[in-house]
Amino acid sequence: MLTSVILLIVLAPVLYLGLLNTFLPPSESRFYSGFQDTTFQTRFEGLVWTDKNFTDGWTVLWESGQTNESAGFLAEDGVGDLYATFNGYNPFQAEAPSGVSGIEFQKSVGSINTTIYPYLVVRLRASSSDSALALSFKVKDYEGVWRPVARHHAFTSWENLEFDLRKIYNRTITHVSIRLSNEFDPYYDEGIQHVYIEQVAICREPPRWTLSYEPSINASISSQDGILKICGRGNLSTNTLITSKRLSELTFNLTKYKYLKVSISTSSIDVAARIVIWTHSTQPYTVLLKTYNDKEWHTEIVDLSYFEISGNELYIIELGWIQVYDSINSNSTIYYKELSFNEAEV
Amino acid sequence: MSLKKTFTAILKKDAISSFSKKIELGRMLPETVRSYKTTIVKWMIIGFLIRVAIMPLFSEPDMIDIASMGFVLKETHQLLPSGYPALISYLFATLYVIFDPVLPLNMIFSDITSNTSYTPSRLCYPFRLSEPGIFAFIFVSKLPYLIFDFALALLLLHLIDNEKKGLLVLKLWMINPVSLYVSYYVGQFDVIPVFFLALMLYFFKKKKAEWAMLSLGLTSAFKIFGLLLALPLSLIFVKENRGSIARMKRAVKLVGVTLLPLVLVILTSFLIPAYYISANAAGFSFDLNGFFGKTRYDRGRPSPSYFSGLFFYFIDYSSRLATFPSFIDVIYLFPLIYGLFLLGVIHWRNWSFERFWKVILVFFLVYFSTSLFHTQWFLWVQPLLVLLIVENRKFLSLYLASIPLYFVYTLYWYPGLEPLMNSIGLPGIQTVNLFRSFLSALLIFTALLIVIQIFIPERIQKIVKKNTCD
Repeated sequence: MLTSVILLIVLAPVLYLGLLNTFLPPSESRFYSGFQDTTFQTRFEGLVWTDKNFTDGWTVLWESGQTNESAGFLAEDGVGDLYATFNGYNPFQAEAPSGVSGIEFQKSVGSINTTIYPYLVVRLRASSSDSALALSFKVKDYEGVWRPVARHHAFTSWENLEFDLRKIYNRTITHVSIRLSNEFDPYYDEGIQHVYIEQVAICREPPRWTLSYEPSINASISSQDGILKICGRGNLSTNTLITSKRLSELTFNLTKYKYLKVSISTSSIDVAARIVIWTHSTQPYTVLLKTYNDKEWHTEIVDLSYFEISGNELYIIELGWIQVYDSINSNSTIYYKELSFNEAEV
Repeated sequence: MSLKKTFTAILKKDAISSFSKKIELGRMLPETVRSYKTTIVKWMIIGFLIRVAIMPLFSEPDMIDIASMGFVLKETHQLLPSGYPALISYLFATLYVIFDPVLPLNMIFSDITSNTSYTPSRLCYPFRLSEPGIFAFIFVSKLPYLIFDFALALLLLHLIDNEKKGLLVLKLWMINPVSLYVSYYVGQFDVIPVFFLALMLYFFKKKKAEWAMLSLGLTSAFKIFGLLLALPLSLIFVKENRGSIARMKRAVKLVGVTLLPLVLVILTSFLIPAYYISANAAGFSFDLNGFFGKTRYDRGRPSPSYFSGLFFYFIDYSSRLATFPSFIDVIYLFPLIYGLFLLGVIHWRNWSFERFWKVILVFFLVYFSTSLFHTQWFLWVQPLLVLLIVENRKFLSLYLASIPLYFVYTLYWYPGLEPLMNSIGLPGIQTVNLFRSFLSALLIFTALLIVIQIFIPERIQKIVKKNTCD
């Protein structure tokens, strides 16, 4: 009889568990991808024209409120330096926009059909992010008419600006121009200001991922075998930030594909992986900020709805890093792979 | 033997009687109830079957978190930083070493083995729970609770001197809804410290001070609340000695014995390297648990100390009375209650067993009525409430009323139910708050009746009784 009670204690749970496994088998959870980037393209596709040294071909198109020495365009170590001086309201600038000072340079690009090579890419930074400063870009069409492309506020970190020329003009263009002015505030009088230009290019497809970083350090971005490598060198102080951004072809339902999945490897515990999702040009959400104490791959799955992110498209995805501890004359690297946005069947 | 025959045989009285003889259950039982062995075994089987039925069905996040601590220790020989004590990691790691051959642990915790993290962290639960063999895993993970639960039931029998009351204690414990909910639905391990709390009472009853203090130390090693009772208990024991030096020596010895398990756990946890669980600093502060850089965070607070939980749970969770609005003077109700508890212990003499456990019960009842408490904490008072009912049936109706109120209180932890309540016309949070207020009223009233019973002179009690109904 002792056996009977022991059998009850042992058999009852075993039989019960067997029944549960048979009649209530757990359903498998899995992800279905709605968007993925497994190549991390960081190079131009179909590059038809580019200038990376700025030694010749740039001529003044417009100049106002400047003396002989106060404005110009120089080339140094492969970087173009467009500079102008701002001393407040300029009474000699009568035509619109009135009172503005600045300088504009142009260069011939030959004859390029924007329906085939639609993207104008400019990589630059300014010496100041003063809100009065304006960076303007134009293209000249085959009939000789200058067409405005875009106008931006100045920024001090290295950024890629990318313009789809098909939205401006759907035929052949012959010239590009870059202007530095105080169009946002003609009374701006902070003296000489610079715009440093690393590259101007026209292409079929721009790099999907471009780098943004402060000029105090050196940074690079590359991709190989589906792995995005973001590297920074120099005196890496705490909070040094490097980001790679993807702006294009991000139209998918964020509410449905709300699970961001990506694999990350970091060079050391000194640096944190950082992912920012922009749903609008003024709406960034930092969704990941993590350090790892090894160099292994870590898969991160982030529910974007946790950060109240939803909508039908993304504006920018930023994959980058931020330095957590000071590191003098060193380098930090982060690798990303297999980025996807998913829905989950749970 | 067929299954049907087995069960029929078990239900026969002689089978149970034979079983209790063979395992020498009699030795474990107090003399008062030894003649009721068969009834005791029958009720234990009923309790066992109820528990077995519930055990594998539910797995709340708390249980999965506790289990993951054991798994990490077993797999990596590292301690997963957590608000839970290291001792629970040791227990679960041992459990998983024993059951490793029959459990799909690597599949259930595949996120840990494959360096996968989720934001928010709770996102991992549906993935972990969707693995085959999950029922066996949940069942095995709750086995320690089952063992301590039954040991606690046997211990409760030793706390009652009357045979019929003893039997009633066992029956009430076997079907105690709070115990079933906390241990087998939520999957929290509070039944373990509660067992050691009952063990402390057992030794107190037997007047074995050092053993009582050691039991309290073990309670504290599992849940820090045990430490709250260390000072009053040692004061009671110290008062037995005469002369300041003798009292001082006794106090040092008792404190040392109490802290021994806690110190051992802390020391061993320092010897084991910490598992680097990376925290997402982009998440909300409360979810920031783990490492960012070289700093460990606990609920967004950097470098938590071992005793931070004591301050967080017992101060931050407490109701408070602000004095002058534009000044920072605040009176926390919990320390106030604790202070009264201590003063009572110092003031009154002749601490009988009955008076002692009732004072502890009063202390906890007032605490639960004035502070936020996690649902599993309510288990701390359940054995004492069962003792109270058995001793005085007048409290049964109060206890029965407290159960549904408690389960309404648990709805705070099921936010999905609020919209549901709203949809049927009940303002969710307000309704729960309303029932919570009733629960507080009921607990305070119960505490008040106990205080009248133990501290008010009998002649006044008679006057009170004359003017009240049962």
